[in-house]
Amino acid sequence: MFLIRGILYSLPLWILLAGGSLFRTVAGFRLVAESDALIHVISKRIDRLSPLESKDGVEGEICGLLFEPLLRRDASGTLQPNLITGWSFRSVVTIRCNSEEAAGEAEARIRAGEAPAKEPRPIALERFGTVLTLVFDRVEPGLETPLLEALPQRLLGDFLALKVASDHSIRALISSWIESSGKKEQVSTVDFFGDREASLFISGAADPVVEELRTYLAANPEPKSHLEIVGRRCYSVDRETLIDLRPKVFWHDGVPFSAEDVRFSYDTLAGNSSESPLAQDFDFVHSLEIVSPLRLRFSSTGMPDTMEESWEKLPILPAHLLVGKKGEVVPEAISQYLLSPIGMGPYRLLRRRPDGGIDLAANPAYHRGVPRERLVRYVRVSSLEPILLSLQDGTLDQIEVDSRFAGWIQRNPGIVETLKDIPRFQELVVWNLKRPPFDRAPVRRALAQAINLKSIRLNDPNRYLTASSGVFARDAPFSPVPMTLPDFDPAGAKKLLDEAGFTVNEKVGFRSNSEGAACSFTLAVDATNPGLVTLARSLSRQWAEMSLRVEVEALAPELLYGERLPERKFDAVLLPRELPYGQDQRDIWHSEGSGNLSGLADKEVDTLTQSLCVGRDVEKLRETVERLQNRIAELQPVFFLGDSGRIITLRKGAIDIFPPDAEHPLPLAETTHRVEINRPWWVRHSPQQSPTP
Amino acid sequence: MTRRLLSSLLMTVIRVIFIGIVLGFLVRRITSTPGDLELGSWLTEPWRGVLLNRLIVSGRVLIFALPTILITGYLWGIFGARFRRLHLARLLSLPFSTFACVPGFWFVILVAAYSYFHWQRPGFADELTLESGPNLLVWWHAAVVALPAAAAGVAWQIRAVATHLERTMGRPWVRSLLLEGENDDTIFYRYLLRHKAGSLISLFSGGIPLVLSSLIVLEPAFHLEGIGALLTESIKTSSPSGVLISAIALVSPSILASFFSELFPASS
Repeated sequence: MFLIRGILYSLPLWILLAGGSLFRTVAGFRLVAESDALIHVISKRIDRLSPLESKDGVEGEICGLLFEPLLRRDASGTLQPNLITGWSFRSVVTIRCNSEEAAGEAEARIRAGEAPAKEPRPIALERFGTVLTLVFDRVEPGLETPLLEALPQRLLGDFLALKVASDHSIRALISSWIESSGKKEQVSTVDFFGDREASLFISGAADPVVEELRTYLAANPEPKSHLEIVGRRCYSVDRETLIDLRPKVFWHDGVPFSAEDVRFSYDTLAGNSSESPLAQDFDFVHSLEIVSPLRLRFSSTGMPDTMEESWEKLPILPAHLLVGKKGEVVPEAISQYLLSPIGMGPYRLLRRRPDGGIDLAANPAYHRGVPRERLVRYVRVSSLEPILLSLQDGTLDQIEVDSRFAGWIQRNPGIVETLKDIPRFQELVVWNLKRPPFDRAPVRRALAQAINLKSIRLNDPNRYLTASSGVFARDAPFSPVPMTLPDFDPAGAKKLLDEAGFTVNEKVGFRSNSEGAACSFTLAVDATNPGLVTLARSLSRQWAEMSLRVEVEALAPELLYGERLPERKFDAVLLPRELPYGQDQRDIWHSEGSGNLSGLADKEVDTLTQSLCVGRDVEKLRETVERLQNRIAELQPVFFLGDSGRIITLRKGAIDIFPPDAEHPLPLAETTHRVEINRPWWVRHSPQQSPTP
Repeated sequence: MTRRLLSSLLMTVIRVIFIGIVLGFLVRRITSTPGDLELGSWLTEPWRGVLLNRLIVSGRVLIFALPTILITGYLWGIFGARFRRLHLARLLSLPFSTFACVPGFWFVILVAAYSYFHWQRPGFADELTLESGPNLLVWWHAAVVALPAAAAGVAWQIRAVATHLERTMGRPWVRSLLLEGENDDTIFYRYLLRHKAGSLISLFSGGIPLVLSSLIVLEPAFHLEGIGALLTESIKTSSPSGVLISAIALVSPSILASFFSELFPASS
C-alpha cells in the first residue's frame, strides 16, 4: 500500500520528467534541416497556382518553374521555339470546274506540268467530282493566279462567290437556310472556315438567291452576320499551317506531351466557342485538328504577322487530367489541378508544406536539361528573428523582406544583396472617358500634372516603382525611346482646370463648374492589394491639394473585375497591367478592343494599332510604336503611374547560375537579363564548382 | 438527485443568460457590419474550418493543462492534507503559486528567447515546421503554453482539496474515531477519503476557467493559433462572428464543468 501511495504521490514528478524529455527532443530541431536544397523564405501562404494568370513575385516565379510555354522569349525579347519547334505554311486552293470532264482535263494538265506554267507548283492534288483541291507549300498573295491563268477558261466553273461572316457561329444558320431555300440547287458549294465564316458559290442567275439569303439573314439578326458579294470566281484559297511539337517532352506525372494537349487547351481557352479573352487573339484560326501526336494543322483565311504572339499566349493544360470519359472538362479536376498543378517546366511540385509553403523538385525529364539544383523549398516563416539567424548561418538563400528588415540590413551590411528584375507590370489609372469630367483631354492632363510621381511609393518592400517608359515591355524588340508623359506641374494643372471651367468654389472648398457640378470622382481599386490601396490613397491626397474631391473605393476583386470593369461602371480605376511584348495592342487601345477599359475611340490610335499588327521589320515597328505612344501620351486615356518590378533579396553570394550545358557556374550578379530566363538554372553557390580566378 | 439536477440546470441557464448578455454587449460594441452577426455566417465553411483548427490547437494545450491540474492538484492536495501538521499542502502549492504570480506571457516569451539564443532557432509557435517524423513540436508548443496556464489551477486545486479534507478532520465524528483508537492513517484513507469522495470530485471544475481564460493571453503571446488567439484577433479586426464563436468556445467547457460539478454533493 505504501508503494502504491508513493507512486501516486510522485506522479506529478513523472509528468515533469516527461516534459523534460520533450524539451531535450525539441532542442535538436532546426529551421532548415536540409543542406541540399535552395531555401526561399516567404511570408504569405502559396494558394492556387494557375498557368492562366500572369503573376509577378513568388507565385509568378513558382509558376515559371512549373509551367512551360509553347514559345519562349529570349534575352532580346524575341520569340524562340520551345514546345512548338516549327511551322509549315501551306495554301489549299479549291477550284470548281464546269463538269467532271473539265475537272479531269484540268487535273491532267496540272499533273503534266502545263499549269501552272511557273513556280510555285502544287505538292498535292486531288479531284472529287467537279472539284480540284491543290496544296502549295507556301503562303503568298496571288499564289493561285498563275494556275488559273494557265487553265483554259472553258474548264472553269462560273459562280458568284458570297461570303457570310459573323462574330458568332453561323454554321447552323447557313445550313438551315440551304435546307429551307427554294433555290438550293443553285448553291453549288458551301465552305465553312471555322464556325464564323462561310463561302457560298452560286451558279446560274444569282440575284434572286442573293436577295433570298439577304432577307433570311435580316430575319435572323442573331447572330449578327454580314453578307459580302466577293464576285464571279470559281476558286477559294484556304491557308493551312502545320505546327510541329517537340518530341520527348513529358508532363510531371510522366505522360508524354502531345497534340491532344494543345488542341484541348485551344478548345478550352481560345476556341470559337470559348468566352475567354484569349479567343480574340485566335480569331484568325478557323479550325484546329490533330494530324499526328506531335503535329497539328490549323486553317485560316489569312496569316497575321502576330500569329506567333497568339500561340505564345496560349497556356497548355494537361488534357489527360482535365478531360472526363465523355470528353467534357471536369470542374472538380480543374480545382484539384490548380492546387496540385502538373506542368512540363524545369521543376515539379513535390508537396505543399504544412507551413503554407511549397517544395519543388527538379524535373528529370525537362527537355532543356535537368536543373542542377535538385530541391527548392519555399518555406513560410512569419517572424523576422529566425530569418536573420538562418541568414547568418547560411541556411537560407532567398527571402521576401518586410518593413522590419530595412533597419536590420542597415545594422548588418554585407549579409544580403538585392537584384532588381526588369519591370513586368505597369501601374495605371484608367479614366472612364464616357463620364465627365474625363471626357475632356485637358482635365485628364491636369489630373496627371497634379501628381508628383517621385513622392509615391509602392507599399511593398519587395517591389519597386519606376517611371513608365512606354506601353510595351522595356526589352521588347521594338521598344522605342521612352514616351513623354506630363511632368509634375501643379500650377499648370490648376490653370488647365480653371480653363476647363472647374474653378474653386470657396464655399465648399472644392472645384466645380459654372452649373455647380463638383469636380469629384471615385477611384476604384482592388481591396485585396494593399499596395495599390495605399497608392490610391496617396493619389487621392495629392488631388485633394488641387481642391478635387476623390474618394477611394476599395472593392472586392469579384466585384471589381467581375462586374465594374466589364460593365464599365467606374469613374477611374487603379490597376496593374502586365507590360506586353507582342505587337498586337488592339485589345487595349483600339476603339473596338475588348480590353479598352477607358473607352478610347481615336482614329489615329486605331490606325496605328492596326498597322502595328502588320509586318516584322523592327525599325518600322519601332517608328509606329513611337507614334502610338506619343498619341496615347497626348490623349491621356490613362494616367501612367509607373512600371513596377520585383526586388529579389538574396543572401550575399548565395546563388550562382549553372545551366546544364555549362562547365562552371557563373555568379548571379554577372547576368543582366530578365530573372525568369536564368531562374531554372539557379544553384546554391558551391566553392568546389566555381572556377578558380 | 432530481433536485440537484434541477438546481444544476437552473444555474446553467442563469449562467448562459448572463454570459449571453455580456457577450451581446461586447459584440454590439465592436459590430461594424450587422450582417456579420447572422447565425448562418458563423456556420459557413470557412468559419467551421477555422474553428475546428483552432479547437485542435487549444485542445492540445488542454490535454496537457487539465490532467496536470487534476492529477497534481488532487494527489498533492490529498498528500498535503494527510501531513497537515507539516503544512505540506502549503509547501507543495507554493512553487505553483509563485510561478502563477509571474505573468504567463512573460514565461512564453522567455521560452521563445531561450530557444532563439540557445537552440539558434525560432522560439515562437508559428515559426518552425517539422519536415518529417512525428510532430513533437506541436506538443512542445502546447506544453509551453500549458505550463503557465496550469500553474494557478494546480495551486488552487492543491489548496482546495487539502483545505476541504483538513476541515473535515476537525469534525466530531473524526475525533470520536480517534478516541475509539483508530490510527490517523486508517481514519484518513479508510473513512475520510471514502466519505468525502463525492464532494472532492465537485472541486474539479475550479481550474478549468483559469486555464481557458489564460489562453486568451498566452496563445497570442506565443503565436499559437488557438481559440484564445482567435478571440484577440477577432477583437483586433472587429469581427463580431470571431468574437462570438471564440467566446462561446472558451466559455462552454466552464459551463459544462460547473453543471457536472454541481451534480455531486456540495463541497462545503
